[in-house]
Amino acid sequence: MKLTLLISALLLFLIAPADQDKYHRDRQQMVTAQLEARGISHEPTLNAMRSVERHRLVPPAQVQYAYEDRPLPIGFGQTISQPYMVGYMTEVIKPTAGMKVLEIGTGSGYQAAVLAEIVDEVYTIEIVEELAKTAKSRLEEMGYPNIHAKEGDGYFGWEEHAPFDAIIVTAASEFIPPPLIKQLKEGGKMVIPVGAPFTTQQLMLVEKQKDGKRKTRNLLPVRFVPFTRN
Amino acid sequence: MRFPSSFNRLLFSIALLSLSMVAYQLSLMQYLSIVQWYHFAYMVIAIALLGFGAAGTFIALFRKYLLSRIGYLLPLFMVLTGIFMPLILWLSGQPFARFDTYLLFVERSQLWQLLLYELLFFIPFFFCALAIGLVFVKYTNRIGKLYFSNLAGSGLGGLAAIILFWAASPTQIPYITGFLSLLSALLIIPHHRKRIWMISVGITAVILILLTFSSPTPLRLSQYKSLSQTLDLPKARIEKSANSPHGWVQYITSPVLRYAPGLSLSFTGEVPVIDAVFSNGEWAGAVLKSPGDSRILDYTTSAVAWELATHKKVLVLDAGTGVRTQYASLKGAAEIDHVESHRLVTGFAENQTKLASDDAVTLYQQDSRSFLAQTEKSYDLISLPPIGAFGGTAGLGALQEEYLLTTRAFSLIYDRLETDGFFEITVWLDYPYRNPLKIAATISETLAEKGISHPEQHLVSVRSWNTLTFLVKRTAFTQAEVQAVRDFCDHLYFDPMLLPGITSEERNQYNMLEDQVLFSLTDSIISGNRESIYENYDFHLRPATDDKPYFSQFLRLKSLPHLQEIFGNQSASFIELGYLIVGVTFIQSLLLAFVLILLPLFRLKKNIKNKGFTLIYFSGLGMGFMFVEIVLIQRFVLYLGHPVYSVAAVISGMLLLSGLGSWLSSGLKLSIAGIRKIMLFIVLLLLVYAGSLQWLLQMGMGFSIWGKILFSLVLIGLPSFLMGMPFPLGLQFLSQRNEEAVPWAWGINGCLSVVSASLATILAIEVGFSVLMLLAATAYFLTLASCFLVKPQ
Repeated sequence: MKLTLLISALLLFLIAPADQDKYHRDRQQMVTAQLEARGISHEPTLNAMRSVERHRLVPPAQVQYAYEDRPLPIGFGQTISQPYMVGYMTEVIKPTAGMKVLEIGTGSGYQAAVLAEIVDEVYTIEIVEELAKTAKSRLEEMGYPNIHAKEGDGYFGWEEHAPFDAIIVTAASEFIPPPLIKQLKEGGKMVIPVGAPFTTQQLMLVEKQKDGKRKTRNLLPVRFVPFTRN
Repeated sequence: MRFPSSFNRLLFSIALLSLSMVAYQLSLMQYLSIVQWYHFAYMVIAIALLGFGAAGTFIALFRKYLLSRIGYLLPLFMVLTGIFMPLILWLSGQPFARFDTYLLFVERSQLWQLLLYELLFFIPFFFCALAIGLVFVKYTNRIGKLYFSNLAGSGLGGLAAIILFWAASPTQIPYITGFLSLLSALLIIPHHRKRIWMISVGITAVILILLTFSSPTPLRLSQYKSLSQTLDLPKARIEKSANSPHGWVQYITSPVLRYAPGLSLSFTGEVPVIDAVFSNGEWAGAVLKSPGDSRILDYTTSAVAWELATHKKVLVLDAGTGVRTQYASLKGAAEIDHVESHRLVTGFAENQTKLASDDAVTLYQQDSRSFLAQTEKSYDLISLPPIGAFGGTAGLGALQEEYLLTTRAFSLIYDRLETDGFFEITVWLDYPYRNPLKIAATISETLAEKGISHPEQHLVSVRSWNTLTFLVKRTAFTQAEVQAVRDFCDHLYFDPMLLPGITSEERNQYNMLEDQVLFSLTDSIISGNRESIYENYDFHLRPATDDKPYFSQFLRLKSLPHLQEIFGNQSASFIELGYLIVGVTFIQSLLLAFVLILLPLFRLKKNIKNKGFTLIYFSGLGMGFMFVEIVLIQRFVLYLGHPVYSVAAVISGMLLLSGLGSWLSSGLKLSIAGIRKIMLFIVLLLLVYAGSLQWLLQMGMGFSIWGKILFSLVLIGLPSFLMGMPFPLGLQFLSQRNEEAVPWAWGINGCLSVVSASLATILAIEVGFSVLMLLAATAYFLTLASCFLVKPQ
């Protein structure tokens, strides 16, 4: 019995660091092959994505695929976005230290963690109770004191902490809630992905201009070049 | 009281078993539409045929063993059929078997899960076919009566399914059909140990009845279905739920459900909280809590229709829960015709909408195409339902017949407009662009058909960041109207996309696109340069027709490598998921048919004579019959107004009439020359159908419901009656010359039927119903040709 325990402990001691090394390597590779190679050059974003342990934020069955170039299912019909999409969305809002960012749709918590590596405060809201609880406890375990997570309806934003320098809506929505536009600073940016689950083709950037007008810009991380035979 | 003879009880038992099986098959189609997607309706047909084919093979291989024990095996197979009907549904929801369509291209294991799923659903069909097949083999001398009772029961099964859809929930129906299968067993229980049989079957039947009321089988919907996602919202509650042949409908409330599709960024008020109705797990419409809540639509692109005029007479097609009807009423329309075929959808919303008590509104419970064919009224505005879904649909509507979005439907809509009338349709923007371009193409072809030489003068389109509304006017837009559209866009931060005299700057002012592709392609389509776009674009943009009513089928297989190059293997799959699923199920059914039906029969092959004849004759019959069945199902969707009615009418009608045909043919004692003549009749009739069925059905669109039923029976029954003859005649011919070939022939026919069920769906999408009917005629022609491979006796 004692011998079994001893061997188990020894194996754990040997395997765990090996796993950590592997994930570390996977992350570096992910940033090089999936982000830099596709034109993401915002250094704080790249550094954040080199640091955040994505594999700790996915369901156990998906851990082995955590750093693959694709979105993964996290349950409740939701996904953790493809790493490239997270990098692209982060780069679009040009995050810097000192900023305060609101995220609507915590999901796995990965986007919040990436932002938290760069900005001062991240406020994140998740409407699905189970997802909110899981993400909150995982983010706490991973040690992000600057992420403030709550379960609730993202429609209302988080008025007590408004205005925000940027808002990331990670869950696609058929309309942009007016309270969110109100809580966005003048000159601030809001990004929203557009697309069915498991597709990452479009991103919408909403700009609140100083003259009060609101404009949107359709960003296409993946550019479709219509086929022309001639 | 005189008890029926044991053979009559057997006839009744077979009829009851057949009835329960067809009713179960139809309920399974509904069940899979609910928990997965609509695509699986055709998979069910293939699985049912697979069960029958495999049972035929099983009987061929173990004939002596089975016949020597038929006394207790027959009721046992019936009991197993009854038990497995509900049990399979429960098993398919368990973690080991759980399959999710949406994950098919994400998790490789889902391919095996799909295979397991198919094999599970195969079980009750296999046992049922074993029971029926055994009886046929045992009583070959009285096959005519037995075959008729089998087919008459099957025919009535379609009718029973329609009744059950109204009376029971999707999870209750398999218990009821299972109970009916047990009853069929009770009719023929063996004399030996009769009491034990009676008690055990009786107890099982009682258990099934009790379980019907407690419904222990939960409906485990895919987590990606909109109902599942809505039920994950805080305090989401199912307030009401009911079943019908149109679908399983639920009324959901949640304090966080809101409705404002494509809301303008200029809106600063409160977005109304709504309730929602779902049909088969999919969003069927928002229910506004007060008529005033429809004012939110003032801030969407669809309001442009009301910006230009106050429309007095309005037609709302596929009106659903009535949001567009309420909006028309709010905007002062005096006469609104609300047309919706799904009674429960409008009915469930009625408590809130009170449309029935609105003097301006007339409710029509009718399919929109039937309404358009019958009405003689003209309208100032005709409103169509929104197309697509936010962010695209992942191609899951690819197999859905959408007869309201064909060129013929748009032509009928145009004809129902007043001189200065409009019709409007809103499209969710997708990427890569598909829905807006196909709508533009459909409108352009409609205007061209109406002889309008300057379509750009008749067409306005307004774009928000996620929606695009097209407004078509019968006469040219006036300068005042054009200015009104510009003001509307400026006020709400929208951009005009099509407008007489539009400049390129004003197209991209508030909602900027990164490139001009959407504009340039739309311009080319409108200006008449459509053919080159249809030819060269990566997606199907040619408008849907009544012959190919698949508006949402965009995938061109030859473009798939190009799309994978751009979007990656996985994302490309999700652009057009629906069609790819059909491809996967086709390959799987091909493999299963080969392994379960054909492969075991190879043991018997060496003793077979007339191999060429047997192979071609029975392949042609399997393929031809299934092609005709699928074409008729698709054609009658439009005629009868709903897929469920069509499937029930075609399956029942074909079974009943082909049964009658085969019964009569068994008495004919025809030679091979006689068979050739029948085959020739079938080929000629199918050629006539290929050219004229669509026209015939259009002629009959205005008939009353009873007229339609009678007309359907004639059109379905005529070819079915003849097509019922060659199979038993061929078997009879073979059995006289070489009995060893009979099971092989049976297996070939079963195998080709299974494969053809999926293949026909793919062909219908690719080449249309008329060509598919021509292919059916070709298959029968090959069968005819094979008759020349053998010498007449």
